[in-house]
Amino acid sequence: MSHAPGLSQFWETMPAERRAPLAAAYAQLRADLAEMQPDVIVAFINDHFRSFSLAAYPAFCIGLGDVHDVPMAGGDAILRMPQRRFKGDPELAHHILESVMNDGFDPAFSGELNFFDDLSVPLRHLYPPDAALPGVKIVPIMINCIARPLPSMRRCHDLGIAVRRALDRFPGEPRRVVVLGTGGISHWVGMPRNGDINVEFDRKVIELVEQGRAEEMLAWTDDEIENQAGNGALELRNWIAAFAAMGQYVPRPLGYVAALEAITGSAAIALDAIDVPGVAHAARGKGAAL
Amino acid sequence: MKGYRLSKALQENNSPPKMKQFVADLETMRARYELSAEEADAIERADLTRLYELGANPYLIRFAFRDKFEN
Repeated sequence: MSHAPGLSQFWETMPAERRAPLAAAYAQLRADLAEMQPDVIVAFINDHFRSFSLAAYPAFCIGLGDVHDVPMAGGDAILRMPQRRFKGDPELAHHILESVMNDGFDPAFSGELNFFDDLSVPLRHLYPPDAALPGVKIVPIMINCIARPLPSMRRCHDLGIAVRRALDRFPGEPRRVVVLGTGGISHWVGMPRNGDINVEFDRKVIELVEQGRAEEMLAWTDDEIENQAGNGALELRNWIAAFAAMGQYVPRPLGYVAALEAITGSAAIALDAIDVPGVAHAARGKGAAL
Repeated sequence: MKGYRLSKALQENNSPPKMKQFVADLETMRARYELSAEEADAIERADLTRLYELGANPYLIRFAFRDKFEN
């Protein structure tokens, strides 16, 4: 899901007909979640210099905390949503960490992350704050999308695969898992062309996902992505990780809006897991790239 | 690391009210963050394109000067 802050800040003031496709998409995702009742959401997201600084910037960071305050202090006022304390899943998060390390990754890890629009905006739409706090647990996995050089699209794909392997190997109580990838699509943040959207690029991305050709994006360089679709589009690697963690899936694009108020080409795509015969699932479920 | 000190200054003053205080005390801030005259000048004038050219991370430009982007 796109996570642009404007999708929360300006949601009420966006003209209804413009936000309608996204509103419908979010309603569908909420219906999917209500039906599935996941135990945990594994969320591929990115920091926006709220958790980390250039003093030391991690490529990947797994959130091990037992709670996650969404958004961080002060974020509630800016994003116009109440802060909520979601549960973490330390047992699963630790397992994922050790499993991907065993598979050759060296992520950073965190006992406490600061969330801004990256996680807060999607959760606001998936679990509206006017209802009771859901019991679903969150395992956040932050991917560097903002301070170059970034982990490559290919590397993020491989991380997604490693996370999936971790989920399949999880020895604990089985969990119903939703995989979430947030960010994108086209947007320029804080640089010349701030405010632009590249609808053609966005539609191309959605089309590739729709046609089961998402892996073609692995060949795109960061310069190409940034030049065509802005520094914000570099967040697509969160989607790439989510797709890879889902493995085989049936994509269901749900909505796209060139959301000018949010300066972002905003989309929501649901992924329905395909059972692969013979593969044991300790955790299984649906995914969403949004 | 191009723009490191400049980015640090923006991250530690990452809102318009904080930038206002920063500019009000510019010489002290310039010394504290070891900024060049050019970097301090770009901040003082809120020259966002120049800040980007000087290597400030654009996300940090966006937060520190949020009021310049929102209308």
